[in-house]
Amino acid sequence: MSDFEAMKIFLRSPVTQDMIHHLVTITLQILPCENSKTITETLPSPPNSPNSKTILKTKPLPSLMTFITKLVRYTNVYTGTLMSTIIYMNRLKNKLPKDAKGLPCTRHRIFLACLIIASKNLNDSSPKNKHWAKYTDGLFKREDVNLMERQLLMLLDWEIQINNDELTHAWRRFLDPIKTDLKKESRIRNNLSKGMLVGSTQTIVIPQESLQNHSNNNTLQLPISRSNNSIHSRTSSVSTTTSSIYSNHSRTSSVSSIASSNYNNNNNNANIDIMKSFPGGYETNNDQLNQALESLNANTPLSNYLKSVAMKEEQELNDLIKEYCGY
Amino acid sequence: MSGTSSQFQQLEKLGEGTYATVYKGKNRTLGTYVALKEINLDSEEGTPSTAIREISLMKELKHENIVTLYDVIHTENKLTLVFEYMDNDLKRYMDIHGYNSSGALDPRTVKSFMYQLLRGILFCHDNRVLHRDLKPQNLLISSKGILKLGDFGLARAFGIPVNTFSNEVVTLWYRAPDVLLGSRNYSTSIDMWSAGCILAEMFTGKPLFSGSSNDDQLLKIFRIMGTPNERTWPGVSSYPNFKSNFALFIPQDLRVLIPNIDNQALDLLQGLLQMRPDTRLSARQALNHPWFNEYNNPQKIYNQHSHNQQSADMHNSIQNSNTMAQQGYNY
Repeated sequence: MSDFEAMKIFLRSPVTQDMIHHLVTITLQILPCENSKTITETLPSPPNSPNSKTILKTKPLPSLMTFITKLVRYTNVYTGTLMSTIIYMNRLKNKLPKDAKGLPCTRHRIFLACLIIASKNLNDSSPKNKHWAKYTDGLFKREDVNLMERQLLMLLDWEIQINNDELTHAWRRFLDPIKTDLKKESRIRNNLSKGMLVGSTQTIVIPQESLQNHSNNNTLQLPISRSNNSIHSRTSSVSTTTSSIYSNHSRTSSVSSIASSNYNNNNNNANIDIMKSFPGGYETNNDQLNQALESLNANTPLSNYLKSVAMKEEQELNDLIKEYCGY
Repeated sequence: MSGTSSQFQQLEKLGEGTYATVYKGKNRTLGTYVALKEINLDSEEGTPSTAIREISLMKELKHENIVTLYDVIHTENKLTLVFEYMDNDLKRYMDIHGYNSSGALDPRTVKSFMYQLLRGILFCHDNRVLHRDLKPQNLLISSKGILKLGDFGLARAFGIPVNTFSNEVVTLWYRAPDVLLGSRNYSTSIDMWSAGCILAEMFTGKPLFSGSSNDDQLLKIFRIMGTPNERTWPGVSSYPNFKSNFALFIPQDLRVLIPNIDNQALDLLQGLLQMRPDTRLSARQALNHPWFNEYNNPQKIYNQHSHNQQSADMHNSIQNSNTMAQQGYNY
């Protein structure tokens, strides 16, 4: 399966903790920064004026993990926009002098500036800088945001266009597993169609789920490719768990939205269409088909895999909620 | 790319857009003229995305039919883009040079401009860039009859799946029917429709479809090109803005609207003004159209037109395509 197919699936999947973790790793590697603690310990500065001191006290620098997670949650940023920041961060790293060193908040600034540039470059409508400032929970003021944006554009010398090869390379660790799964999946589909199902796979739809999904559908953006989408709605229908990792692209794919919906929140026009065209759902299909479905649910590697992914994601999500929401 | 504004003496205002003002400028050391596009930075917005895209795309697009970006001056309150200076835009050129003050250009000039326009578009598309705002005001004309694409404020890279697109692009009169119908997954064909509208306008001096709103624009197109249906345009009823009660029109003969057009130019025009984006001519196909045989067959043109200074200049520019582009100023 091609990189391009895998990329389209990746772009439709919600932002995961694993992605954010990867971004943190990349951001940390751009340049060494002084720890905020060491600064206060080793460089005792004269007392600040009362105002600035209170600001410093009330706004300690959050960890990069917290910072990025909050940005993702507040903005509902597209997966593609968020992950394109990797390209800019790598470009910047290559342009910085080897001995470059930053202040405690330098990496936060770099990440935010990269995200703003990615958003402005890749989307026809994107938030203004005053909104970005708000999304930092008061960590940065509007003027700070304007300055970091200007500095990044200067450092990158306005070279902010990206191509598919760069994206494929930067996203390798996310695309490879998708490609493996696509191969597995097409093998299973081939076996099924050779055997009992004879080309009728697309009638296996779980109606309740689809309806439920549809009610959550208000903010759904049009999928990039309809045909591709319907292929993967078939994937989800093969498994009765709600854990198909790929079938749902959603604008509301922030970390928080994963919580309520267990990854299946916003699908899917394609499902509904299929349902309409096969109004009988299960009934129209014969026993053989149901048998096949059951055996598939019970013990195939695919369904086991999907279940395990769902459990893992749920666990990660719970950890994340504990960590960032305090309960 | 890090000049200072003191390098340039600001002269008269050349034009004003929605987010920028363009002045004529003079390089203090070299004495050469430039166009200074000044963008006042709004502290709420930061650097406008239009400017970010225009600069980053134009840095990569170096071609003799695309206006050259020399430099960028970025300060806290102002962003100045330094472009090569061009004498006119096509709109003003038509006002000045059109015969009987109708704005219509003579067929030889139309052909030369159209050829250069298509070459500029082809270069963009080959480099995965959509211009998305082609119109006479954005085509710049030098005193030697060279045409260059300008104003890449709405331009976008295409072909990378991370992009999201809006259908609020292209000045209404030059906007393709599929975009008017709400398409967001348009591609290069969006620019080819605009090129068709511009070709017709050069022949008549008047915009071909001058609608006042999205719906009115569609109606004006249907009135001439015919109202599309599932038979003439499979899938048309699935577009978001499609209405089953659109007023019904049958296609008109374009020759009636454009009396001075010759058969070959008409054929090209019809290829560009295809309602269906998938059947519209590409820039490459349009350049290979028989109407351009004299340009595509370089031996002929010298003998035929060398007596005409302007067309000889145009011809040279087409001939020496690669050398011209490299003669840019070095600031």
